[in-house]
Amino acid sequence: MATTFDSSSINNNCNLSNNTIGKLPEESSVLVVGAGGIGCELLKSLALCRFRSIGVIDLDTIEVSNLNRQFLFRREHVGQPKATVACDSIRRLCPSIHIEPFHGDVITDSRFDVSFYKQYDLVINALDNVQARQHVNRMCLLCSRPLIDSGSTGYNGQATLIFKGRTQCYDCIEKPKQQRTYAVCTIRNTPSQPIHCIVWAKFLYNQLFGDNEDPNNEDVTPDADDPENVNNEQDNPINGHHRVSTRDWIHSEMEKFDPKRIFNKLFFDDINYLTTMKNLWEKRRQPIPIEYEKACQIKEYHQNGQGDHGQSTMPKLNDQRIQTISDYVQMFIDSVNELKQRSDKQRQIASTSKEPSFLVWDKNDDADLRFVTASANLRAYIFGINLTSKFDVKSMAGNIIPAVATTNAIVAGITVLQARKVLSILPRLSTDHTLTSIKHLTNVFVSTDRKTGGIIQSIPLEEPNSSCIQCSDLEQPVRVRINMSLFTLYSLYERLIRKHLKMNKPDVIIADGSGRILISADDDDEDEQMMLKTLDQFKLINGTILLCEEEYDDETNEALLQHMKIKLMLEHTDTITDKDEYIIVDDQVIGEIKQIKQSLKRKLSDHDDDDDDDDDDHIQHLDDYQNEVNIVKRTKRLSTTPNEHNTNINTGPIHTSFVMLVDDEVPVHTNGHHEGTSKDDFIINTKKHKQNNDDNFVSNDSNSCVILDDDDKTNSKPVTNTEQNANVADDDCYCVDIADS
Amino acid sequence: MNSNQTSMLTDEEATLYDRQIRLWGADAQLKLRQTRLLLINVNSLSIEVCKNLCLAGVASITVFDNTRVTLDDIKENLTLTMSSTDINEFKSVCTCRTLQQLNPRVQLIAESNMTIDQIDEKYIEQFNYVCLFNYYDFSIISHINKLCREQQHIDENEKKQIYFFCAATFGLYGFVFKDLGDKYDYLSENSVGSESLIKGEGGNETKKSEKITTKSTRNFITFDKALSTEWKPNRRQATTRSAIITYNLLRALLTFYEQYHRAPALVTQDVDVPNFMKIIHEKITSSTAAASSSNSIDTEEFNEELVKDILTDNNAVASIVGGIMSHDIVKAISKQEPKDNFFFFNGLACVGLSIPIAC
Repeated sequence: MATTFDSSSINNNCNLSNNTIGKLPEESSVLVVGAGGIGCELLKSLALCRFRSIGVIDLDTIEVSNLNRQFLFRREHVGQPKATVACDSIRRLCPSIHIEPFHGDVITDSRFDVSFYKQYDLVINALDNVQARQHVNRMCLLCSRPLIDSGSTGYNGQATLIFKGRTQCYDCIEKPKQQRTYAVCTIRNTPSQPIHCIVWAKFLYNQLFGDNEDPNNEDVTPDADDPENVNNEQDNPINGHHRVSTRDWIHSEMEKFDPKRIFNKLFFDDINYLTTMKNLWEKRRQPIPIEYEKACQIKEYHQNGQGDHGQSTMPKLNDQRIQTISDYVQMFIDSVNELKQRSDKQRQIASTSKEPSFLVWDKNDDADLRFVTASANLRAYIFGINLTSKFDVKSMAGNIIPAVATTNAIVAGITVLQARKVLSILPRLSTDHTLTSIKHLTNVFVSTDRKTGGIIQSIPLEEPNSSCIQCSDLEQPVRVRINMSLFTLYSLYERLIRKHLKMNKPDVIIADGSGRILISADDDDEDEQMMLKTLDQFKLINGTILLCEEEYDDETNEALLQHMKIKLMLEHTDTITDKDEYIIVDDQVIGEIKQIKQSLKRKLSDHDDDDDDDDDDHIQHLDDYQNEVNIVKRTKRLSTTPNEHNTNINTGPIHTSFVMLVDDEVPVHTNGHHEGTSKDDFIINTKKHKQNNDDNFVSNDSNSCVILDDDDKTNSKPVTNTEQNANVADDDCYCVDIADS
Repeated sequence: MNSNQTSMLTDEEATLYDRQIRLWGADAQLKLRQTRLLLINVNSLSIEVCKNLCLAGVASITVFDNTRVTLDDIKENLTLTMSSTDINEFKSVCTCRTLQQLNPRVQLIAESNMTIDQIDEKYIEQFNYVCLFNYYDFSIISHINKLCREQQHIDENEKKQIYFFCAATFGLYGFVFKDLGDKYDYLSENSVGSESLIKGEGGNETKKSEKITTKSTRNFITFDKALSTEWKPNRRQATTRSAIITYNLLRALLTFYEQYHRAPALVTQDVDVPNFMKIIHEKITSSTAAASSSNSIDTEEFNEELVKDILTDNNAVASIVGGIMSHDIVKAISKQEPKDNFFFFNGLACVGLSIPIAC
C-alpha cells in the first residue's frame, strides 16, 4: 500500500499560480456566515487546507434533520447552537486552529458591525436565505471586503465572488420572487388545489395563534367582495351586512375556547355561507359543509382523483400515508388544544419578558405541522380536492429546500479553492484591501445531476450593474443609528428626513428588492396611527436601506425636472434609549452637503468642523466615526486622522458613505461642471466614476463636484461611460478557462 | 412496524434523512439501506466518499487499508479521520472509528490485514460496490475491475452486479471512472414541461410536471478498455481542454507506475519530480499532436512547482471529486440515469466535466 498519494505531504503551499505576493491561508482570517449544510463542509475544508483563523456566525440550533449532512453535529448535540458545536468539532480535528463561534443573528445582532467585518480578510456566505445574504453583501460593500457567496438547492449549487466595484454584487440582479403568491379570493373562497388549502391553513394558524398586529396576516373568512360574486350582490340578503371576521370571532370565543365550535365555524358555517354566493359555483363544484359529529364518522379512505402522483407506488414512510377524514378531525382537535395551551403559556411569558406574545408557525414543530395538515385536508375534502400527506404538506407549507451532503461538499470544496484564489490577489504585506488583477477569477456553478458535460462550470465575473442601489459607488448610504423598537415613522420622516436631511416631501422606499413604499409623497394626509408606529413594526431590520426620493419642479423651467435621492442605511442599536434619538454615523458628510446646498459655487472650506445651526439637539456626534470619515475632495482630503479604535490588522479607514444625486437628465460635463440648475438644489455628479489608482490625480475643475471616496489609496474622478468601459476592458479581460491564459 | 422492516422506513429514519428523501425519494433511501461497499485505500478522497455515504445511510462500508498512520500523515493535519494520537494505528481503523460517530446505523468495517492482491472472487462477492482510490498500478486496477465483471456473469440469474469505481485526486486535479457493467438498466425520467420537480419553493402544485418514465440501457466498459486507446475528443477543444489536462496527468501517473513500479511521491520528490515532469511533457505533446490543434496547451505550465503540487493531497479537491463520486454511487444504487464513464476535474480552471471515453 506504499503506492498511495495520501497525506504524507511536506509541501504545504499548493500554488494556485505563480503569485507570491498574495496572502496565504495561514496568514489570513476568514469569516464564515452560516454553519449549516455548506458551512460544516466549508469549515472542515478550510481547516484541512490550513486556514488558521476563522470566525463563524450562526443563529440556529441543531435539529435531527440536520444530521444527514451537517456532519460536525451528532445526535447528542441536538438543541445546541450550531456555531459553538461546529467550532468545537473543528478544534478537535485541528487543535492549532483559531476558530471563534458567534451565536447570533447576522442581521440584527449589534456585535456584527462594520468594525467586526473589518477584522477579516474575506467573508464567505454559507446561508440559506436571501435576506441574510443581502445584509452580508451590504456589509461587505460597506467595508470593502471580498465576499464569496455560496449556496445549494438539491443537486445544484454555486459559489460567486463579489468585489465591490469590480464585480456584480448580490443585489445587482434582481432576485426572482421567493414565494409564489395566490389570489386572496382563491384562498378564501374558491380553492382548487391542495396548495390553496395549505396556504389557507397557514393563514388560519396566524389568525388563531399568530401575530394579530401583523398587517400581512391574511383573513381566512369567506370574502363577499369576490369580483366573481359582484352580480350576485342584489339577490343575496346576507351580503348586506358585514360578517364577523374569523379573527374577531376567535377573540370573542377565546374565553370559552372550544375546538369543536371552531371546527363547526370553519368547516360548516363558513362553508354554508360560501355556498350562498351562487355565482361562484356555476362552473365549480360547490363545497359541501361538514359538521363535527358527522365528520367523525367518515372512516373510509378518501380516494384521491386520478393523476395524483405516488398512487402507483406504496408509501415508504408513515407520514406519506393519506389518512381518513375522521383521523384529520381528531388531528385538528388535538393540535388546536395543544396550540391553545402553548399560546396561553406564551402570552404569560410575554407579560414578564421581551418574548413575543404569539406563536410563529414552524415546519419542524409537530403540532404546528399537524394543525396545518389537518385543516388543509379537511378543507380539501370539503372542496373535493385531493388530500395531501403530512410529508408533502411539510414540503409545501415549509418551503423545504431539499439538501444532501454531496452537493454541499462539492460547493464547499469549490468555495475553498475560490477563497485561496481570492487571497492570492490580496496584497500580502499591506493592510489595504485593494485587489490586484481579478482576471483569473470566475463564478462557479454546480449541477451534479447533469448526465454529461459541464457538471462544474466556470463563468466569467460580471461587471457591476451601474444602477444597482446597493453597490453603485456614488450611491453609498447615509448611515444612521437608531433603536428600531423605539424610533417611530414620524421621527424618521419629520426629524430625520425632513428636518435633518432637508428633503421636502420625498417618497421613502424600502430598498430590499420588494420595492415596498414606506411613505408616499402623494399621500397627503398621513395616517397618524401609522406614523406613531415604531420602525420594527414595519419589519425594518438592521441594515435596511431606505431610498428617499424627491422630484423638484423648477417652476421657472419646466424642462428641469430634477430628482434628488438619498440613501439611508438604518443601523439598529439597543444602546439608544430615547425614542427620538438618532446618530448620524457620517454626520460630517451631511454638514458638507448642507454647505453645498447653501452655496453651490462657494468653495468648500478646508476644515471640516463647521458649526451647523441646524444641528438637532438629539444628534450625538460620534468621535470614533468622525475619524473614519475620509473625504476626497478633488485632491484635498479632509480629516484623515489615524483610526485608533480599530487596533487590529486592518487599519485602513472606514469610509464615508453618502451621496445625493441628480438625474442623468441634468446636463453634466465630464469635467464636473454642470449648468442650468436652480440655486437651491445641490448637485453632485453621479456619473459613473472609476477608481483610479493614481494617487496624484488632480482634477482641474474646482467647484461643483464632491466625491466621497471609500478608499484611502484611491481617488475618484468622474468619467464618462465610454471611458470607464474602455478602462475596464483594459484592466481585466475576463477569460473562462484559466488553463488557457 | 417490525414486519415491514425491509419495505418501510421507520419514523426515525424518516426524520433523520428527511431532506435527502425529499430529493431522491424514499425508494432510493430504502435501496441505500441495503447497499454494501468496499473502499480500497485511505486518503482524503476515500475519506470524503466514506463520510458522504455514511451520512446518506448505506448498509455497510468496508475500509480496506493495511498501512499505519505515520508522523508524516498527521504532521500537516490533512485528514478528517487521523490525528496525532493515532500514530502507528491502522488508517482503516481510525477512519472507521471517526466516521462511525456520524451515523450509528451504518456498519463500518476496517479491513487492515489483507493486501490488495489477496482480493479474490470470494471476497469481492459480499459487496455491491468496489471503489479503488489513488491507485496507479494498471494491472491491479484491471484485475479488480475484472473480478467485479466476472461476478456479473456468475450471478446473472440473480441479477447480482458489482459496480466498479476507480478515482483519484492529485493536487488540483482529480478523476472518477465507473464501470456499471455491460448492461446497466435504468429508468430515465423525462419530465414534460417544467423542471420544477425539485423546487422546494411554493412551486409544488398538484399539476406537477408530468413524468414519463422509460426503461433504458447503457453499456459500460472496463478501465482497461477505456484507456487502451488514446482519447481523442471530437468536440470543440475549448469545452474539453481542462479535462484533457487531467486525462493526461492520469496517463502520466499510470506510465510512471509502469516504469518505476511505484507512484511518484513527495518523500522521494528529488528523483520523482524530474522524472514525472518528463512523462507529463511527453503525454502532453503527444496528445496535442494527436488532437492536431494549435499548441493551445502550454507544456511550460507544468513547471516544478506545479508538479510538486500534483503530489500533494488537497482536501478541497477531495471534497469536490468525492462529492461527485458519492452522488454517482447513490444514482447507481437507485437505478437512475448514469453519468458518462469518466469525470475529470481541473481545479485551476474550476471546471468539472462528465465525459464518455470509448463508451
